[in-house]
Amino acid sequence: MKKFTVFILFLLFLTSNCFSKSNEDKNSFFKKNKDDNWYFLVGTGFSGSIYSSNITKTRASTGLHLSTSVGYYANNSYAIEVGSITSFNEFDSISMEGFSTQENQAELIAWNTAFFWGVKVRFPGIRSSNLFSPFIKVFYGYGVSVAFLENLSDKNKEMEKYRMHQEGPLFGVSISNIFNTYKKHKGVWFIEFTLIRQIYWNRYAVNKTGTVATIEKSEPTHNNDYSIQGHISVGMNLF
Amino acid sequence: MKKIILAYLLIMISSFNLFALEQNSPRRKENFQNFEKMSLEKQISENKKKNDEDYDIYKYIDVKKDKNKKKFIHLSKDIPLSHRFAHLGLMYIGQWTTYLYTQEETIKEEGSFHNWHNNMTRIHMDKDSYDFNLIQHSIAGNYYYLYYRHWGYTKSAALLWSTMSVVLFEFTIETTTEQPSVQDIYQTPILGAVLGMGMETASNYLITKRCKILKVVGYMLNPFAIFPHSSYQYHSIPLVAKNFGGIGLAMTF
Repeated sequence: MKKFTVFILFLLFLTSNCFSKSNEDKNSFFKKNKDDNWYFLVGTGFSGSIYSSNITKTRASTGLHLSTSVGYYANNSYAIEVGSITSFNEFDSISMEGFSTQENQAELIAWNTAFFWGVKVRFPGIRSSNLFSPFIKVFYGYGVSVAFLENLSDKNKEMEKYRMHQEGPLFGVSISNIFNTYKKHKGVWFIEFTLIRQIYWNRYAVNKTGTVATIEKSEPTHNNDYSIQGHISVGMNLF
Repeated sequence: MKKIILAYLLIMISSFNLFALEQNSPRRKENFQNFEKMSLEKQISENKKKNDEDYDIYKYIDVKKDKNKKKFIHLSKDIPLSHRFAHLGLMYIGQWTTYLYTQEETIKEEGSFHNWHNNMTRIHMDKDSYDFNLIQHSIAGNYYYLYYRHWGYTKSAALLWSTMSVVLFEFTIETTTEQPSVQDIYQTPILGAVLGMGMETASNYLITKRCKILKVVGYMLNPFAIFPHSSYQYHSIPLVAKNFGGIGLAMTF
């Protein structure tokens, strides 16, 4: 009950702008659109993630990503959004067992794709300006992480023909600032910080040698595997 | 199978001509002529006013202040809902044609009506690699986007109708051989639109160049620019005889 009350209060706090009658700031969410409308944001930037699993030690990776968001905003205060973050991260080296009984030293590139839907609102309690228009977004979704193993030792070379898919639900929060929201003749751009926690439910070994992806082996992860991803994006409003 | 594909192509190309005729209807011509009479500055300001509306077509114009500089502008008009569904239908025919042509072997091996029916409700996360999910699907999505833009849709409308085409493909065409994929449904239209916007800008820039090679590259980046509403008018006539089927092509400069 206590958690539920806190959650409701948090939601009311976030959506306070929607109900505020004294909202003097009648400027739009983005510059051109004075009314409720669609928007499309695309960004790119750096990613970092921490991955913990029952088949390897906790390891960190870094890389680059592409983020996309399509949303519909209303009442000059909140937006419903669907989005994705696609990142390629590199681990220096990793030791793992599980599908193979032997321990392997390998280089690993992880391709993470997170799909989510969420609610984006103006940061509560802040009066926005052209260069300071902060937003907060909470979201929930589902994602896939694909691991490509490379440079395995000769005795384990055979494992290179597989890629490891892991998937499960995710949730996260992002804080962004949108620039040039009120200048009509300047491009709208943004900076966004995103934090995602993903739990992995299932793991698949996929044979990558054929033209069609074939699942050779699959197993549940018993909810022991998770990752925490951080993304810093810079991007622009395409419409 | 090849005959079916040829028939589909004939129908599709003929339909393009029908739409071209509709675009040149007296009402549209009159609107267009009125627009032509305006000064360039007024045309641009009118276009800016209507930029967020439902319809825009390309027009290739000379900028009068500098005769060597040419640019594309958008002219906004409305597209009736019936035409939007007709465009969707044309794309659907094109999707079936492409699918039957490119997946002939896979359909023979794995395709069945049972699959087509059952897979519709079995949406899943596919296990494809990034070369399929990110590269090939983005390129396909780029063509969806450019197709709708070529008919004159705004950016947001083109994205919306591309998404509808992708959903139709995933749930009513590709189910013949595989389950609908979450990645494909999201990434094909979204990443395709990002790529398409870049291709469109590059194409519009290159087409206005005097160099023929650059023009050709421009049309290769956005093949739909060669269809009606563009500076290059393309016409096709289906030719059907007792033992012969073909297409007559003509281009005006």
